[in-house]
Amino acid sequence: MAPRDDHDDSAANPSTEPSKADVSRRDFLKTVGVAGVTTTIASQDAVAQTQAPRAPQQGGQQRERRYTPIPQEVAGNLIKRGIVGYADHLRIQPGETIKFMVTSERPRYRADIVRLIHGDANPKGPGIKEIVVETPANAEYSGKRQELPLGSYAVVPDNPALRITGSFTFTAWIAPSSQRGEGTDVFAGVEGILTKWSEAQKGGYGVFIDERGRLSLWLTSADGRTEKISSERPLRPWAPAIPGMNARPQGVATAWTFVAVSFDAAAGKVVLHQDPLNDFSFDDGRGVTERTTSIKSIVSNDAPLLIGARWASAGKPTGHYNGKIDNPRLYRRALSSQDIAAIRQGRGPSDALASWDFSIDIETDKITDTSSRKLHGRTVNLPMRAVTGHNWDSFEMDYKRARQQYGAIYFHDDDIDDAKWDVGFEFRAPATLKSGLYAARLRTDAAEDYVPFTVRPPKGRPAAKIALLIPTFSYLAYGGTGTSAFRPLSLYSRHSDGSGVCYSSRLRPITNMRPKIQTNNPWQFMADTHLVDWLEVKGFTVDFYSDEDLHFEGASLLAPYKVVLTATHPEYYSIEMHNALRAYLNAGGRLMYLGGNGFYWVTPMDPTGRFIEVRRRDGTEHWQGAPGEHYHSLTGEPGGLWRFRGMAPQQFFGVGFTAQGFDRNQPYRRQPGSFDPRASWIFEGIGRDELIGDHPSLVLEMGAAGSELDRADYSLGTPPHTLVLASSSGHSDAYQHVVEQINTSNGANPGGTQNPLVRADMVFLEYPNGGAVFSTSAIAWCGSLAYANYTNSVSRITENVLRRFAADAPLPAPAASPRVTQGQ
Amino acid sequence: MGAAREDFLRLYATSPIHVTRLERLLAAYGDDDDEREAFARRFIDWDRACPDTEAARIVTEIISTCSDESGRLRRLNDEVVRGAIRWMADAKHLSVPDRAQRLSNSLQSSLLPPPIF
Repeated sequence: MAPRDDHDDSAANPSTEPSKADVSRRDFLKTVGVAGVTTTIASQDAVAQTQAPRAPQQGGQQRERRYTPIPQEVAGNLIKRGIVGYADHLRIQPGETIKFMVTSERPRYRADIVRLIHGDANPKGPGIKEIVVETPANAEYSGKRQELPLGSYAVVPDNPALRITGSFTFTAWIAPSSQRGEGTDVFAGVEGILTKWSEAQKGGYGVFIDERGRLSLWLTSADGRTEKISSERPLRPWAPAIPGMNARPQGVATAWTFVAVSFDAAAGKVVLHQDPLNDFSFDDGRGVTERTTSIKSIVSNDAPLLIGARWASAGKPTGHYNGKIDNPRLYRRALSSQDIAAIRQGRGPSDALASWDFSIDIETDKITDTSSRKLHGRTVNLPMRAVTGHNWDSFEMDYKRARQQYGAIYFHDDDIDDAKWDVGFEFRAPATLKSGLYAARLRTDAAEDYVPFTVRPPKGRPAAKIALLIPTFSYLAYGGTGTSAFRPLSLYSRHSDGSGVCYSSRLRPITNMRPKIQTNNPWQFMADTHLVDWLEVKGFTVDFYSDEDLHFEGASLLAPYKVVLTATHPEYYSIEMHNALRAYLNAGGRLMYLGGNGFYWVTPMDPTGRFIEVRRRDGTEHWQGAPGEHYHSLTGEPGGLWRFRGMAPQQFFGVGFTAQGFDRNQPYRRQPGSFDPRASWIFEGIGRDELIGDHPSLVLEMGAAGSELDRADYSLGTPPHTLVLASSSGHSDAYQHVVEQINTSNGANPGGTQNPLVRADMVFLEYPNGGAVFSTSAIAWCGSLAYANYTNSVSRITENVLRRFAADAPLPAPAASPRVTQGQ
Repeated sequence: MGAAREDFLRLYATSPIHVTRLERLLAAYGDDDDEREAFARRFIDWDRACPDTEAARIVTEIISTCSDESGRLRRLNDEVVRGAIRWMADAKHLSVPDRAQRLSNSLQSSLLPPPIF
């Protein structure tokens, strides 16, 4: 073979190598507009020969791309997608109605309800399988563009007391986090701190941060003239996280500034105070700015007062603030410097027009005014509660034990709760509709989208022996909006200011919870359809439930079923869901945990079922919460991993998260436990030395043990009678042992080539009263079910277990066989 | 990490697994942080100029598997990467999986040593 020249175009030159590839390279090259596909090897020695152009690029333009705000990025993506929708519920039962909200770039779109069976279009698998449900909802509808109203704020209804026309003073502790300046990762814009300002009503009053990061007072006179008066020095923004994925960005203690703005109408004077909370007298962020104004009287309006934004028009806020606000107050007079200093010290005059104490009702969307006027309000779009305030002293980590130190709310310009789009159409599930995975399929002449939902059986009327839990909590946690990526707006995302997203709502388009995503690593929803398809092909009758069903109904939901199946990655679990599964197992239920990294993060849901909350801490994660902010605002319970709450999944399901990787999967090899009479029936039809899952997969191409892996660990609570049936080995160093199991960062043996703890353990264990658990320990498992027309070792083992678990016959008792001892 | 690389990971990772893959891709497409940042920025600009919301993400998956016989990731030049995005967006007479497969085959085969006739 001739030696390879990296500069040689002949490999891609259609004149020298015609028709070798199964695609016309000529057409491709014609399309891309190049004569050859020049490549370089990405190694140091070859880099010197690189032909990859170096910056500056694009015609020599050396331009800096400014940061694209997340709201703008998301809006642009939704428009590009052409049609996008969401539903008002992720699950319904026959007889109930589900509403679909749709944004469409075309004036008309077609909707059809389909039952989804296989949502992965990978040509190496069975392809897309869907059945159209005949329903009156299948029709053409009018389409229109609908915007995603990102950005949180608090709103206080209009009140005559707030219609200030003369002197007043505003005070608050703030920690603004928008970075400003000339760099590439800055974002700028006017942000509202406290405003009774309406563009539609020609102004009003408001305290802002201006484009240059300065504290600013806006006043509109009675004759319609607006003055914008800013401080001399910009506020120093607080950087809540260190940018960077692998730097494990962790929240840091808040950097607070006390601010006060007074308007003396009679004197025509405005004074802006800013006083950082630190001991550095030379801090140049500290200062007092005095200005004169010709405005003597402020125009009044009936717009509600906003905290963290301002009104662009009625019902449409803009100028969202990024950062924390603690104890905003209004006084209906210009306070003296002594009064303002006293407020900074926690005292101050008691005649506040309003004084909002955010430490009250942390678990809700209420904000409470402690003044006699009771000008209470509500938060919108889920700003973060249970966050440290300016006076947090680092002693208490639990807000419930020091509420007075948790008087802040953390606002973000990309928070979202309910998108509140207009309803496009409705679907009433007929009484005879089969339980399953469904979607509204939306089509225009140029675009397509699916809005999935689960149809469960009518409450109290199970129709099968087998139940499948669709992990909607995990779908929400990974639920991104805009692209097929799992960010932005998921619980893996970071806000515009770098802090982690801790709430995820279902009332928005979740554009990665979809079929037909082109990838060799299907994730969550699409990967779970591999299992749905297999159940369909094998002819099992199955009742489908969502995590919300389990969360709200508990063990009684599962009691009628012989077997409960999980999907591929049930990572996010509430205490209610945990307790339900344990109660089910102890009562004789049988669980097939057909995935990996399950039962991992503490995840409460709000009482209405709209959204979940995760406070990340000390796990394998994309961000970590700030000090003192690891307790959930919804329930007050500590967040993080269940294992650090004493509920490691190994205790209940035999296995727990041990490693993850990305390059290729491995097969399982049978272990002594697989020959134990208690479990040997699982391997009927499997050869003694046969590798399990040693064949192509729809997840990462090849092998059944891959993606995220679990392992038995007796020290973490794997019950002693647990049988390890099979294990994978030989994973690459792309597979790393999870950080929560590493005590020191010395880098010793972290990867799959060296670390025996990087493996998947397939396990079986019995529960009292005939219950049992079978765990496969790999997300990739279900991606291997369809190979060779569903006749393969993974399919066989899954079927062996499911048929036996679903049967009435008891399982062999553990005491009847010798205990098999396994190492770690 | 610069803003463009951060955006790159944010926009194209469909699972946590993909984050590592994309980081590996960026490492191959720049010899230092400045080059990686510049590539990420260019790539996102190509994506924004493309009418198809998925084309660029699919291309990241495909070029992150373009490796030589020893498994080392190969760097394609800008024109090819940009052309690949455009082709993924434009070849609408093919299904998306077909497009992805053909693009992958085409790029991968172009990386192999030329046949000896």
